Amino acid sequence: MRILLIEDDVRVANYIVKGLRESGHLADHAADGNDGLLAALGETFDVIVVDRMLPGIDGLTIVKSVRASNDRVPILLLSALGEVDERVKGLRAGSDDYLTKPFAFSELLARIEALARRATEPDEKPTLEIAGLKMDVSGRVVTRNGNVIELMPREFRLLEYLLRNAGQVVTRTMLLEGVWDYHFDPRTNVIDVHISRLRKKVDKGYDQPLIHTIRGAGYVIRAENT
Amino acid sequence: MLSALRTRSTTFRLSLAFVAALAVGFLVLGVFVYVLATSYLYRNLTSTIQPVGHELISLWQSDGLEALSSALDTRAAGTPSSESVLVLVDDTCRPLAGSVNLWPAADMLDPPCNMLFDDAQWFFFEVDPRAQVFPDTLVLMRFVALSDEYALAYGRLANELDVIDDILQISVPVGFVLMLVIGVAGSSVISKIVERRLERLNRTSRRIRRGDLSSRVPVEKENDEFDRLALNLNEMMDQIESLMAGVTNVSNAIAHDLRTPLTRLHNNLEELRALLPKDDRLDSCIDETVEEAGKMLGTFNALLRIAQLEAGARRREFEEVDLAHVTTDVAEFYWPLAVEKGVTLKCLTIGLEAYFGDNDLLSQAMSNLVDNAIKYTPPGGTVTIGLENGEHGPRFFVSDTGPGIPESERENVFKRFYRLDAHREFEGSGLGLSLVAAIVKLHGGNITMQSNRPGLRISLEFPV
Repeated sequence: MRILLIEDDVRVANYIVKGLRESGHLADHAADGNDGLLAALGETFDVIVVDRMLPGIDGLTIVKSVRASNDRVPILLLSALGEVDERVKGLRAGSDDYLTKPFAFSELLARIEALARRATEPDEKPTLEIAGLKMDVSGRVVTRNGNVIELMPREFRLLEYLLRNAGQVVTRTMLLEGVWDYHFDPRTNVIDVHISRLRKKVDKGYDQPLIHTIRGAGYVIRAENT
Repeated sequence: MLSALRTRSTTFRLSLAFVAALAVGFLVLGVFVYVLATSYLYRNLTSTIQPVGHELISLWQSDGLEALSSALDTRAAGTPSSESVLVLVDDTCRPLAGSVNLWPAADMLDPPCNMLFDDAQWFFFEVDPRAQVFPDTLVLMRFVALSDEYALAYGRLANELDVIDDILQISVPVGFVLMLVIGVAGSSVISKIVERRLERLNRTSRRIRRGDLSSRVPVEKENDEFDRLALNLNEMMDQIESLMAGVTNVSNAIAHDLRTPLTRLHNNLEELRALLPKDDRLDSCIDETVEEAGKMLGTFNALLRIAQLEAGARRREFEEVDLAHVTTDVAEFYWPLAVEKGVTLKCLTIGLEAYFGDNDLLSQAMSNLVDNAIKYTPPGGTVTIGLENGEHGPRFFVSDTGPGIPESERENVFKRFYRLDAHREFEGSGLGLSLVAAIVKLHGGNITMQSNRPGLRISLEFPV
């Protein structure tokens, strides 16, 4: 993937660029708003990551300008302004996701990959499948190797979220936002409890576990235990 | 009109008082005009009568009664349309000569005949309605006793007095009623106009109260008192808005300045993990450090959030919220946690009208309370959350069967970083309830704590 990072803090930028390259992506860096906007409008990227506060042109303006040029490239807004109204402003301006500083690199990477995946493969597939686990989204039926798994509505949405991002790490915050639409930190390990209940229903009694915990990052659903 | 009185419109009441004062003035003026006009006419009449009387008296003095009597008859016969009324009467006030056909019966005289005889005096009588000439007409006369047996009554028709009476008796009440009707109608129109202009102020202040700080009162460029008030209010709001923006800017600057180094700290720790050889002890050490940094950040975020909430900055994002939905979502979110701990979580909601608030913040407030309740309730206990109709609006409540909070401490637990000694064994920042209090305050609600016997019951009431 080719990713453009527009960030004025050199150390944060270096760290992100380094991390992205280590994860096998191509990363371009622009250190201020003007360079960033030029790059964003002039070249093609799979994902753009923009800081909200920048010298020169600010992040929101960059997002608006890119959208005004009819470019649907996924944009992730980074900001130290963690409040919901700032998030709403960012989303209204046309960004696809919003991440508050400080963040773990794993969180950023997970979100970038989810954004890129959604851009090429919209959340419309009616059936999701991985290693014998089948989900009929419109019929609300989940089976594993033909056996029906009874899920509560929220467990269903949790599993759906994992399956739509199959093979990719999803963080606890992504689950909170994507499944519960909660944009605050509940400060308890509630998500872990939900996952462990889901895991019992999905994996218990089967040789091959599908839901895996990624240390310091989150969860992933995948067939191979790597 | 009555509704205006009931809604206690000051303008309407003031205008009514003004109309009442005007009415009193009008009545006084009416009486004054009446008295002045009649007395003027009266003087006018008497002064035109006097010379005729004197002439006749001198005729009587020089030529005697016969001459007077024939002169009177001639006058009466010759000038039936004359306005003069001249009558010679005997001691019982029976007419002997002159305008006898106008003269009333003796018993109709007021004052009575004998009193008239005593002295020369002015009096009125009304011509018999059946009379052929001047029926019903008012006559002003002077009575002069010529001897013990005869008297001369001279005077003239005074229908002007009647006419003035009639005019004033109709015009004053009609004018009075008209003035009242116009005055009251005018008052209600004026109060409507004033009310409409004030309503604009009220509408704007309601919008501001709901968090739309950029809302301003429309100004009509008439530079009247309302425009001046509107301009003053608008200037005041400009100042408040810039102050609030200042608060937000300061907290945003702090956020930016402090969170960026924290990001670096976080990143460096992760990099450290990647650089160091794979070792479980090192890994768990780094995990703990990352977690500690995360907690620090969480506390810092919560503080910042409370500060922003207290500045009211979030109100502009208010929207319609289904509280029952928020409540069941929170219950469902925490249910597995309760199950894992062996605590029963019950949720009792009722359908309510949409409430105007911040969905995310309300969820957070409820989450904090439910989180606490589950944390402090021992296994086997019960946590009940729900919605009910409060006195002034929807009320969200959480009750548990935990240790509760002593009454003396109930005020303190909302203070930042305040923790009960009994709770020190539990993990927590001491900011959870402060955040709840800030969120409830932002929504104009109030918090009450009661003993749940045993345990605690916290209610958040959101007045509509």
